[in-house]
Amino acid sequence: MRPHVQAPSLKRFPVHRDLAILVVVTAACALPFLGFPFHMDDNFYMDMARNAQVKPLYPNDTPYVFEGRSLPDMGSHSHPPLQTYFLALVQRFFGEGEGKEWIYHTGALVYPILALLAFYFLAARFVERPLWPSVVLACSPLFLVMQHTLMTDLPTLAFWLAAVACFLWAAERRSVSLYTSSAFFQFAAMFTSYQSIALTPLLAFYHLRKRTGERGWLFLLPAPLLMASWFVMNYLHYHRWLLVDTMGFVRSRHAGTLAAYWTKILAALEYQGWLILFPFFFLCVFARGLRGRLLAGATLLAVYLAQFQVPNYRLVDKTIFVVGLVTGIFIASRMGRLLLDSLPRRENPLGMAPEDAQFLGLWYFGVIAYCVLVFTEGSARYVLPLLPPVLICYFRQLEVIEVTEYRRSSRPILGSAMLASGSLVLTLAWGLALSHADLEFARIYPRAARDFSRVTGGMTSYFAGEWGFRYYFSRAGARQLPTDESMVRGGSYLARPRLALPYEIPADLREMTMPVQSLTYEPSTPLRILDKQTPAGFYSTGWGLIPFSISRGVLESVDIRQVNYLVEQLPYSRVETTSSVKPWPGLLGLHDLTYLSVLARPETSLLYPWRESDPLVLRLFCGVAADAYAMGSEATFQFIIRQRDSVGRVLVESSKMLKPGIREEDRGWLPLRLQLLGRKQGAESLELIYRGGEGNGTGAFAEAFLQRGE
Amino acid sequence: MEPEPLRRHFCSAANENLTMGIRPFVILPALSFCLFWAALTTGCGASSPAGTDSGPSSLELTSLFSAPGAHLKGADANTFDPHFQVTRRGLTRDSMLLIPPATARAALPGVSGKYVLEAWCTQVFNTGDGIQMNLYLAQGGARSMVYNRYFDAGRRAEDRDWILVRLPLTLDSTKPSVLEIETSAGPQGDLTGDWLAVSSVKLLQQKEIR
Repeated sequence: MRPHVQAPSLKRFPVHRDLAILVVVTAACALPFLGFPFHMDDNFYMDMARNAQVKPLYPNDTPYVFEGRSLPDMGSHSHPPLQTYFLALVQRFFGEGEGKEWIYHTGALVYPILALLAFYFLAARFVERPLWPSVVLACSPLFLVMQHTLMTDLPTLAFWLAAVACFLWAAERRSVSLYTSSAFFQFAAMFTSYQSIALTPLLAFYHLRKRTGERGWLFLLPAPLLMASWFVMNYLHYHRWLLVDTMGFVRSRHAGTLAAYWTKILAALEYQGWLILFPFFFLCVFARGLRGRLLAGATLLAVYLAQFQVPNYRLVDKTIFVVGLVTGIFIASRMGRLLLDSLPRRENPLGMAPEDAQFLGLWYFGVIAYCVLVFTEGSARYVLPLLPPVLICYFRQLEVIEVTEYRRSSRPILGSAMLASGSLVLTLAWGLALSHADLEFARIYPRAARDFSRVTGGMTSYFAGEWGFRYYFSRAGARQLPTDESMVRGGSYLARPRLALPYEIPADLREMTMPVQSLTYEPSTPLRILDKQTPAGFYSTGWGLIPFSISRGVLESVDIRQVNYLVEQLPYSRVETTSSVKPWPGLLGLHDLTYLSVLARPETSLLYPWRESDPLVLRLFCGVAADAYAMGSEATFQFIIRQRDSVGRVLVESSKMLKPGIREEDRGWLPLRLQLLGRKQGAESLELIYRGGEGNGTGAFAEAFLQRGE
Repeated sequence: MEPEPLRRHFCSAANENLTMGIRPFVILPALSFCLFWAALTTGCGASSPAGTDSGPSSLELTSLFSAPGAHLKGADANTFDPHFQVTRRGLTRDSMLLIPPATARAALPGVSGKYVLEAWCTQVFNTGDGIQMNLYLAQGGARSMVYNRYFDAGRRAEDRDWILVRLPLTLDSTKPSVLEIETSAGPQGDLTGDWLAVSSVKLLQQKEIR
């Protein structure tokens, strides 16, 4: 029973109505999220977009530091620059700044709209009511979540669908204009993501099977040829083939091991299971075989696999894993059956022409193949291109079920109509829930940047992480931690996230820093799509095998530290001491508190050059090592901090006198505070003096914090 | 408009020629894809970063070192870690880590002649009162100090970097030779931050030094 498909004509009102519905649904789903903060890899594309305005032909030709590693250029990035050009255009006309995210997200609505309109026309080739799969695609969790980012995944899907839709209808109608449009969209897809090269063999297969004339072959050539030309152009500029380094990066991630393949396969099944439709509906429609015995068997298999693969997951995470895996298995098996049923002398229960079924099957398994074989890890967004064939298969099956129900004497409880509308409603609710979880995640970083700015008060600060953290912290005035850590001066603040790909701080710098504050953020929603504490790995299997999890814990924390000025600047200080031992940086413990200190012997003076132009407050602790005095001894230890001007006049001073031999409170750490002047007020140096004692007792100036004046 | 028979003949001949022409010259999409992919993957192997060519006259010694009696890995005193990543001034080297009073030893290969021993060394942290490093060469039972340096990254800015240690050695292949790297704490006995990294230890023939 072939589907009664009709070529949607743009002259007919029902088509206009359907397209309008799709646009309205897209806009309605996007509206609550237009102010979505820049998130995940959005920052990278924004950086390249800025460079595109300087080097339009080679937008990725700029030195870049990513995850703390320095690269001479980003030419070999995993994506060509079409999305970068789009963002550069928006930047050029609207700029960047606080509250301008909605401009970018509004402009980017062109992609989901293009994707849905193209999918409508594509689905019209396979199902009788193309509006249903199109609307459900618009509400699909994966589509909704990716729609709110500026990454290349949704643009790729949009161009992919447009290319396929134009090509299929071009073959049907022998239309040169549609072929030309398809060629244009094929190139756009490839110029957005390299993996879109898979379009060429996919469409070639369709053309071969449909035998629709020689003309179609010609329109499969321009896109790969243009890409090849682009590679040659870049070879002449960068003096290397761009994909060489890209492949080198892939190899360095050991993506070709059996364990990696297995992880990616599981991830692909999990993502499909949870992120296309609410899983219940896939199970209702695809898992009907053997009166539920197949479902039971698959569930049992998934439970055993969960115990084997993820034994340490919590019960809720294992449940999510099992449900996702079972659903993913049934989706994959349904698509596999679609392919098998297209073989000669086999009946296709969906009524599709064999070449159509083979085309959809090749599309689906082709995407799975490159997700498993080519990519470095699993990620939900990688499986976005296989949503369309799955949804077409699902809704075609619903149409077949509808006909079967019509012929029955009694209607089932869960009829096809209820399944269709139920899948739409629940999938939309599920998609909005996950989108909201992602929004709460993304909102953390602008807030953290504001909180960080309040702590630093505008002092020199550095960030050591990626994603939205990097974007908002750099907008707040923080600089990226330099690869040469010796450039970080004392008094600088350092912010390092826990989740947003924190850089490894080199040991020499790390040991000179003191903890200032730890900012923690807990979203109000318990849904997590990426989390260090739970195995939620929507964006990467590096975090876990399931696309979401449940948690009430802290999602992100930002560790703020300050480089100890006295320790970092010690080599540049002028030391005067009667001791044979010059002051040195180290740790001293008093009363169970161990602080990073500058340690000195009595009658020592350290004169630090003072470079800060504005007033600051210096807070530190002073203390005397326990072996520097005897109990009952009257020995006095004096700690003085002062600022001097260029002629040596004392501008400000603070001091403490300690008698730890007789005063118990002087045996621990005692605070010392001084309001420092800036160079603008004439301050040229900071002097520390340690006097007293009866021997070589070590004194310490510890935990020297600098902050903006009160 | 051309006469019907001529047009039909021309068109059919043209179509035939076109059809015959396209097949051999218009590469099937699958074949074009394969060629494209082959070009890319061939290109992938076409260039590879130039490796460091230490030349036939240089001997890499780092992997020969061991420290019997020291803890293997960890952060305690008297620890030796043969592979530890250390970053200084943005440059990360795979290094031997020695925490005093660890001593690392390596039996030198049986070579004779004048050589230059070269190594990159650094104190891992900018804290502490410094680390003393002594190099000893034991040949045929006689042990002598061939080099010593005090690393004081806490107080000296120049020590907050990789330090190239270079010294001449005269070796005799008839006598067994052992190179020792001995570490000890600074004069204050403060063990804070006393981690020494030694990387790329090489013996270079003296004539090869530029």
